[in-house]
Amino acid sequence: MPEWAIILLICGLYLVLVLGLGVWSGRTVSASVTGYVAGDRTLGVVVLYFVLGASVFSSFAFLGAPGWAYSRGAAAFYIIAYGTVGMVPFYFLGPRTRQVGEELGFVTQAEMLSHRYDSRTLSVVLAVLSVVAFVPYLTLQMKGAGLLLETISEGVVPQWLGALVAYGVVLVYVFASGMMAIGWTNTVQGLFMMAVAWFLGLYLPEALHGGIQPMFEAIVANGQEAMLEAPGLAANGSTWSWAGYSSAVIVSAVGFSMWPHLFMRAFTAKSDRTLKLTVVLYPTFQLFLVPILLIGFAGVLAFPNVSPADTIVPHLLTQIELSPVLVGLVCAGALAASMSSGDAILHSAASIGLRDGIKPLLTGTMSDTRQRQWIRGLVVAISAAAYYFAVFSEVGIVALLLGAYGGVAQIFPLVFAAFYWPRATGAGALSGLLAGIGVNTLFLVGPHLRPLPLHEGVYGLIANVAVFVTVSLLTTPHARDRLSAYTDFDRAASEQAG
Amino acid sequence: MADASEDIPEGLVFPGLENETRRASLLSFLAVTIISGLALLWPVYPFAGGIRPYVLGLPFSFAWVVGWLIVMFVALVFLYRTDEPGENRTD
Repeated sequence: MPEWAIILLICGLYLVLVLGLGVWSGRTVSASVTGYVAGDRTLGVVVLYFVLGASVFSSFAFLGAPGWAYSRGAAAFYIIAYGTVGMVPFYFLGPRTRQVGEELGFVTQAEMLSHRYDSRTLSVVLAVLSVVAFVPYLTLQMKGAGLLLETISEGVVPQWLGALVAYGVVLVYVFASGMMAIGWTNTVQGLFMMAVAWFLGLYLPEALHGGIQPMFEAIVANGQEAMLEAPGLAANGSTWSWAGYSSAVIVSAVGFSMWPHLFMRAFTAKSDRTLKLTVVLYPTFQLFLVPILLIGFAGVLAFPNVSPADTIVPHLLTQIELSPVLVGLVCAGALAASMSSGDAILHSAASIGLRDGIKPLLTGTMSDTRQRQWIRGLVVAISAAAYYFAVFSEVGIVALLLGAYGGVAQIFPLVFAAFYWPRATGAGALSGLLAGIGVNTLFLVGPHLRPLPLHEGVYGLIANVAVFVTVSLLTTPHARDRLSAYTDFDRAASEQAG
Repeated sequence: MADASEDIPEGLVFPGLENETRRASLLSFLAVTIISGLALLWPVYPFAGGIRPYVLGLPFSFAWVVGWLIVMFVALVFLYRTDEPGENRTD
């Protein structure tokens, strides 16, 4: 049997295992919308840890992040830097979100915000923003899976087929089991990815350079020290500016916990303690980016001029002498990274599309069964759209995704004020969000208009907060009844008195 | 519904600050978070952005970032331990 056949066989077995687990796991929850979207609010620490962790370990982690380390060096440390503080707001916002969700029956971010700010328009705007951000994200995951299978099978499995098979599996289990499938498959896939990341991250520097420090010393000796000094290199190979680096860290950290597929997981947690503990343990997941970046650095001297840089990992795998069984397991790990993010995005996009985008526009109520049918229909439609972009279209997906980060960060002021600023009003929230998205988009498409070379999201956030605060103060506050679930007036009052 | 403004506070409202030990732990946690954030940005990070000394085989610029990740982890563990178990809002 040729090597590629053994590798593919292992990947195939792995896909079957994930499929079985995903479909089986849905048996434990109720057939309600809460069951499908939020796993009946029963998730414990272990599953939640891996569900949140999987959002770090996407295709980007196995392909993009080593690609950054390989081509831009220290610039890749930014991925660890923003995650260091990016999850902290969720320690405070997450449990409050969970309580409100349980009290009032919410399962999405926009449902909560549109109730707090009494605005259906806000819900629709958020739904559009989420889906616009999600489709390129999902497309990248599909491309990653396809690219990987194509490279390691030496072209026997073309990209379109690889993406189709891997995402066929995801589609089936998300369709069948919803949130529970994501929880359980992400747990198994997460363990698998961790093992693979540490193995490769320690093995490759050892095999190619005789250790981690010798590897970095060799890079310096080769005259590439600029690569290892913060903040690393820009995309064109020149030194990255401190302004560009710092503002990218800030915007990503602000937006990190606001990604709707991550934020929504607050509604799945069993208790406040569970959610808090998950956030506390989160940095241990982040630590797995260390070996991931080491993989990228291992390629710098051994295989210069690999293009595009994102293919450095599959390239390394095909070039070094490893048993095909091991390569098969590594590929399955990389597939796991792609699928475990892809499934969460797909599930969230469909849930949000219905609950926040379509439902508010319809008159009358919708039964639970009907809602589940709609969400499943959207699961299929969104996969088809992302698959189309992944395989047939050459639209600038990466640019779209980078723009989406700045857009997602604009949700932060709304969520923060929902809990901590009772005076915030719907008119303020909506106009602030629109101003933020508008300014962000303006500077994204017209980078030469920026007064300083900062990330466009920074300008968006400034405009957002300014408009939000001004308009809120000029409009009538919401009734106390509406705010009571979000702000604890009694406690706040006793505090002022004392 | 628009029963207007009478008693809605104008400023920010942070629950949990009324208890002194809780306030102390929240504020010290906040301080660590801000320091970690600043340590990873201009103008602090440039001072730690060089290659030498190597720490556990990593260039200093890399180890610095990982170090602050660990600091944040420890800070979160402390914060979690000072949070009372079962601390839900009492309505």
